[in-house]
Amino acid sequence: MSRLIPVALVLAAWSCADPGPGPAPGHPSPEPPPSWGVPLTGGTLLVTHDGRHAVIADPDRDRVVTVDLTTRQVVADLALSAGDEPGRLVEDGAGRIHIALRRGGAVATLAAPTPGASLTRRAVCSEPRGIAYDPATDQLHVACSGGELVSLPASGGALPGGGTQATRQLRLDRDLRDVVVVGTQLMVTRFRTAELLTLDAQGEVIGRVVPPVVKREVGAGLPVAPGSEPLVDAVPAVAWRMLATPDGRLVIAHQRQVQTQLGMFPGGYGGSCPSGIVESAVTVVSPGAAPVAVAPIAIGALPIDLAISRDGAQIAVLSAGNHHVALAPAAALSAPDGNRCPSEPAAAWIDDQLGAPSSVAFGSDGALLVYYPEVPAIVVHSGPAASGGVGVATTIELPGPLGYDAGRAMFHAQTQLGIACASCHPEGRDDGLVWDFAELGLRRTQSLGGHVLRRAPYHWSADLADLDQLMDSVFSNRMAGGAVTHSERVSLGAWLDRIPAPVAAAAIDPAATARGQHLFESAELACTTCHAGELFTNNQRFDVGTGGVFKVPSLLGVGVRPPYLHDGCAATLADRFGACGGGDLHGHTSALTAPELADLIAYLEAL
Amino acid sequence: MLEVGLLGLASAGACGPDSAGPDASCEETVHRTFEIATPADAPLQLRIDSCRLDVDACRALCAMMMMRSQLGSNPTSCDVEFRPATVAATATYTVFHGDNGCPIFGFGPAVSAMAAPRSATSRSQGGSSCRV
Repeated sequence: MSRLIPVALVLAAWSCADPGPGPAPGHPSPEPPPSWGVPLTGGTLLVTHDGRHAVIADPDRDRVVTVDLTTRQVVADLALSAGDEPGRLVEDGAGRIHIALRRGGAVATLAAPTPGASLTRRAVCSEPRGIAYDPATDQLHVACSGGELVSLPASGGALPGGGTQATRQLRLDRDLRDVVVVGTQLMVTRFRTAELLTLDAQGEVIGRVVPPVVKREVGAGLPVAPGSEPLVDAVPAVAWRMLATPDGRLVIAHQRQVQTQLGMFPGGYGGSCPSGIVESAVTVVSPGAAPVAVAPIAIGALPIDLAISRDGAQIAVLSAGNHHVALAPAAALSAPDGNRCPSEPAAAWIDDQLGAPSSVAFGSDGALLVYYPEVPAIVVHSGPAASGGVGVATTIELPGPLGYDAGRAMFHAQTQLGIACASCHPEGRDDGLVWDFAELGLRRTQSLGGHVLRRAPYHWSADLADLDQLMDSVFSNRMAGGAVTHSERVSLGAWLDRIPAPVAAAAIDPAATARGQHLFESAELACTTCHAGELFTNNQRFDVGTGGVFKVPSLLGVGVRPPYLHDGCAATLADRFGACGGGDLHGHTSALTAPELADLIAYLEAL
Repeated sequence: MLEVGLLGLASAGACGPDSAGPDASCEETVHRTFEIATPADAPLQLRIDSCRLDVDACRALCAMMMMRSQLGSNPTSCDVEFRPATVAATATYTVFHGDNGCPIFGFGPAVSAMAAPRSATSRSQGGSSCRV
């Protein structure tokens, strides 16, 4: 003890001094490090079929790491190109590992999860998201956010110039997410709508379902005003992850929007249930049956990944917002939602204290692996089923620098209201939802992707001059997130600004797109009076006949962002030119012929 | 592996008017230094490494040390010095005493500083001349 006293006194005395411009030797840096990392997305951890290896796609460091689960040593660390952002992985019948490169626009193939194995790549689409392997045809199927569903041989090597080598390329709805092979059919989710598409062997969409709407209590625990509806809808949104169980069911981890009215006062984004206005949800789809919403398995924001044990006995759902993983018996997949506020789930909680986890997977022996991108590390929880709890934890640290970014951490951390910034801005973009504000009316969530720092002022009413004001007003106040630290203030904008707008798929009819561009840029239509420049906005406010004075939104990635306008009144781009679009106050488009309007829409889809 | 040194400092050694001892408001400001051998276990090392990069991350380090010592998890400030084989983290926090008829409030729930939802009372340390 006596040894510590002088040191502590020195610290106390030093702490009163001017810290100066840089870190003193042996002291923390007074300013945060440069911006780092990408939005959390989940699904980047795979355990090989033989159970011997874990393969981690590291989208923050653009590399693929292989861990021998027997020796618990890293046996391979393969660098990708900067900005590739590796995402989902799948193993084929020959033991190759295929990785979707989310920004690299390709599938990388690791010949084997062993030292010295080669890594090749094939271009597939602008933004590959989900990837599946079909053992019956030895093909890969890649779902892309641009709407492409690309099939290619698993055994194919790289083509000269990195060509696609696709055996089939379908054009479906945009915002595709996961793909799962079920017999001869493909099941494909869409990210923000949480819609599930069923495709037959010919690639025809033969079914569309969405997770069920459930009910939640209004003002749980509070008296309900006479005549008012005691229950509100909680509607499906943002399908983070879909997997198949060994018995052929599909399990989707997604969010729900609890449709209560929001306020702009402190805590105004609080929901009627403790789980908040955006709750984590799990929906199960059995063959030939309607989707079933099951009772909450995880309570916590951002259910970005899930895993199912190979014997089908366990399910793990990850909540990045509160850094927990819920581990529950498979019976949880058969317990229907009771239309009540989520309370204590029938799950054990894993909290490894290593920051936000981003991926989970089960080993062949039932061990649960959790990936922590910040450290980076995986933690192996051995024998969770046998122990009846979360098992014995072993941390395997992975090579690479610490991934510290105060802004990124803030963006994904849930506040005491149970929501995070990323709840409404998943992957730094938008949730595709319209929210009802008591003071404002309906407001469609705006995307943060695409040079957000150059798009101030913020919100539809442009009432927030800069990101500082937004953090104070929205995060600290309405979300009850507490005071924003200096580092968070410095880091968040720099981190957000690196998130790109969605990339459009290649135009189906380039000639139509070109004609549409000509119209868009014409003086007659005057679109570019407001939607000007690289970001397609002049950041001004105008009344364009849509019900008030609103800020001109950027049109980057507009094709993937329905519904449109401040209140989401236009379900499609075509509808934007309909009754609620403002008429000729909002671009002189009323005289356009139907083919001209189609051309203009084709151009907007390509932005 | 983890060596924890506990030290209550005399209030006069610290700065600021809120570092006095027990007062009429029934609160007491306490400074406690934790000496941590490095490398530490993974969760603690994460917080040490983050704190080295950014002073605003140090609060989580002190919060974890306080939590492990069952002292709550809500430091008002955290002063850290990195040494060759150890890290000294001095947490400043408030306790409520029950003397002279004061009510006893305790420390609140012992929750993880990084796993728990953000506290509405978290505060920035950047730019303060009285904190590291």
